[in-house]
Amino acid sequence: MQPKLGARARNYRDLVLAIALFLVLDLGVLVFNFYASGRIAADTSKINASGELRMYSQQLTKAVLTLAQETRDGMPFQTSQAQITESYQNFSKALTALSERQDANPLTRLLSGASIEQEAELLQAVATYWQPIDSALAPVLHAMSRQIPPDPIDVEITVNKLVARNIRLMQLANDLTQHLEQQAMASTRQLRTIQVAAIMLALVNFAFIILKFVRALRQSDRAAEAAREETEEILDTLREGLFLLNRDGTIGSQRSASLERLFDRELRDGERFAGVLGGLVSAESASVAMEYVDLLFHDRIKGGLLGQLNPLDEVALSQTAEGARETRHLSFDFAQVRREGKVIALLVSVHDISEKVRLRRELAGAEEQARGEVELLLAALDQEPALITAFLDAAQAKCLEMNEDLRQVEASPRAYAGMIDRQYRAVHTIKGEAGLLGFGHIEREAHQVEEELSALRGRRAVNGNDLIPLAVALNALRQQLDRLREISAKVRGYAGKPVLDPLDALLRQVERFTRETARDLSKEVEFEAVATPLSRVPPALSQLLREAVPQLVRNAVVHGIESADERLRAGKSAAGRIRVVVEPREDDLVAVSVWDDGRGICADTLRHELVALGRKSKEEVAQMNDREVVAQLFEPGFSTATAVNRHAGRGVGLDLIRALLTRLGASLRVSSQPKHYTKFTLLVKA
Amino acid sequence: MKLLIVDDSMVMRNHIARLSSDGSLPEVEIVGLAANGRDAVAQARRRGPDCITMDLTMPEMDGEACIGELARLLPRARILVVSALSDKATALRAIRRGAHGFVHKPFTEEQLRQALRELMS
Repeated sequence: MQPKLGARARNYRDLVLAIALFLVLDLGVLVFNFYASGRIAADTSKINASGELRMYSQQLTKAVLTLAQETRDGMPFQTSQAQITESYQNFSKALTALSERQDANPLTRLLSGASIEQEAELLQAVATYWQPIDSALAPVLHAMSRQIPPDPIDVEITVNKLVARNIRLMQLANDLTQHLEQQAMASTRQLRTIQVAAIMLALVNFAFIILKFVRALRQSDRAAEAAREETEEILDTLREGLFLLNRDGTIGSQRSASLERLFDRELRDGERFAGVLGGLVSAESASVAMEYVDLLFHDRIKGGLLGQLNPLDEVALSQTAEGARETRHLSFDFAQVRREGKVIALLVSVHDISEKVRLRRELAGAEEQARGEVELLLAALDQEPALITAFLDAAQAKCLEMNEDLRQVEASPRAYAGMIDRQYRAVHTIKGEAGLLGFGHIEREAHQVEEELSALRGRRAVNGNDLIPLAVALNALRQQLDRLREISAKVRGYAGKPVLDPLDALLRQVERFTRETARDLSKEVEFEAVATPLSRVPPALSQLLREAVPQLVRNAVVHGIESADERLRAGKSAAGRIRVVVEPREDDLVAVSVWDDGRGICADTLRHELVALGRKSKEEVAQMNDREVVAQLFEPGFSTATAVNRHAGRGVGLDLIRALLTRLGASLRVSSQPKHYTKFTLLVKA
Repeated sequence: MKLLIVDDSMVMRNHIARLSSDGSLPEVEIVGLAANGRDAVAQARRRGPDCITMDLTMPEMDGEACIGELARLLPRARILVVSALSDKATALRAIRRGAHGFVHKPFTEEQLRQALRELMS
């Protein structure tokens, strides 16, 4: 992916070296240029001086010849004198200048070597030739400076010297001029060559820099392109949704392709997360989620420590795509992206967890079912098979009747009301018996049917659709009963279960039911069952013990037995006492009595209740005697319990018993003393 | 690291104290236990804790108010909310007042230790 650090450093080092070489080269050429142009200027001025030597030598010769002529002719010599002085001075000046400009620079010596020496030799030759002329001219110049005529002999000597040497001197000056010109040309050539070479080198260097730079640029471009392609490939392949959420609340442009599938919509660049979320989940969820996101952008907050508060760790989508059967669930995970300690963005990953959620729910459902079945199994193991069969026969027959009733009920409010009442009684019996036998699961399903019936009871108008939840609940109850039948059939297959005396078994059910009811209502109860052994348990007695006695015991626990505090204040033991007695009576009758030492039945309290419940007017209750008032307890729908629970408050129970007694041809007696006891005695044919 | 534990349940206070002083978090030194917000502020003033574990539902001064007060009093202290609150919006509001992290009750021993480590890092 990225060039290694060593390679990158090498690239940069080459570039830096190339640039340094370029600068050094430029500087070198500049210095040489400066030096060479200085030399060329010096050469030019020397060429001039050399030309002057030639010119003034000629001029001097001419002027001295003129002076000789004038001296001989005795003519005035002022003009020639001035020319001689000027030529002499200018020649001397040019010669001095040439000698002084002799270049001692070691670089020049290095570059021009032999040429310099030749120049010096020529100059030396000029000086040597000039020396005798200079000496001969001295007395002439001396005389002229004092404005006296020079000695003709001195003039003659000078003329001789000049004539003899002028030609050679001029030749030497010519040679020097030529030599200097050649030298200047050589310098110029040298300068040109060096300049050309330097420019070539600079161009090569420049090309090298450009090449290096372009190559580095292309390399980094390729690396960037490869990285981008790799990122895109990853983002296209990822199954989870991945994106950067910027500080300004927008979704970053780099995001996984699956995001649009998860959100079931297209995403535009720069779209706001709040808007996207608002379209996915409920307004409330979106608002809490944005609060959370906002907090994650606080630098002080540690994202890892806020995971448990993530409101989007499992969120149901408010809109499900057409054709989808179940609600989809997504999970959002947020990770802070920090730069120098500051949160600059959130990396958000999105998963579709619908399958996980569905499996979890199914597992919970399966667990609940398994628990119910184990409960059924345990209860079935604990029961006499005959009792279970009797219960199932009765319950399933009732369910069948209820189902038929539901199907065939006439569509009128009055018919509905009657049906609901009938169903209520039937399911209440099933519930009571299931509770008595310890089939909690069935009891709960029956309670559910009761709940549905209660909801319908309160309605003014009922139509067919309203009955659907009832039918569903009833179906669930029937399934539980079927399941119990299967289980009990299996249980019966196992041998070794001790056979109990049927009456004893029935009384044990009552005892257990009493204890469960008391425990549910947090009341302390001591239960006692007394039975005279019977040769056989008549079916009517069996039915009374299964259906009626549990209702009476339940009433005793719910309504009769006071709370422990109340009992202690009344001077009673904290635990209430309930006694069930089964004994044969005269005339081939068996008596079953349920006695409790609770608060008893107070006719006046009942009168108040009747008025309060709106069942009777004040005048009516005033005219009723105590027997008639107590008899109201057995009317449908009368209840004195304030809260509806599994055990009380539905107003069925005693009216059910009355119906059962009628069916069995049994009779009932109630005796009670307020604050002391209540006793229900049921008499049935043996 | 000086730690102040704030929770109205004595059992929870002692539990957190035990978990953070059994040697698994050697840098932690417990400087105080407070049963309500008012006491927590008083103790924080005296002992200047670096880290605070904070319950939200408490008598006298609740966690939310207490976090606001502590954040003002000790801006450098780090506050970890330890609460059984199931209402996420309320918890988020409390965090906004100045806390740094959240641990849900009930927690495993390792969850709390990990959270304290992260809080102190």
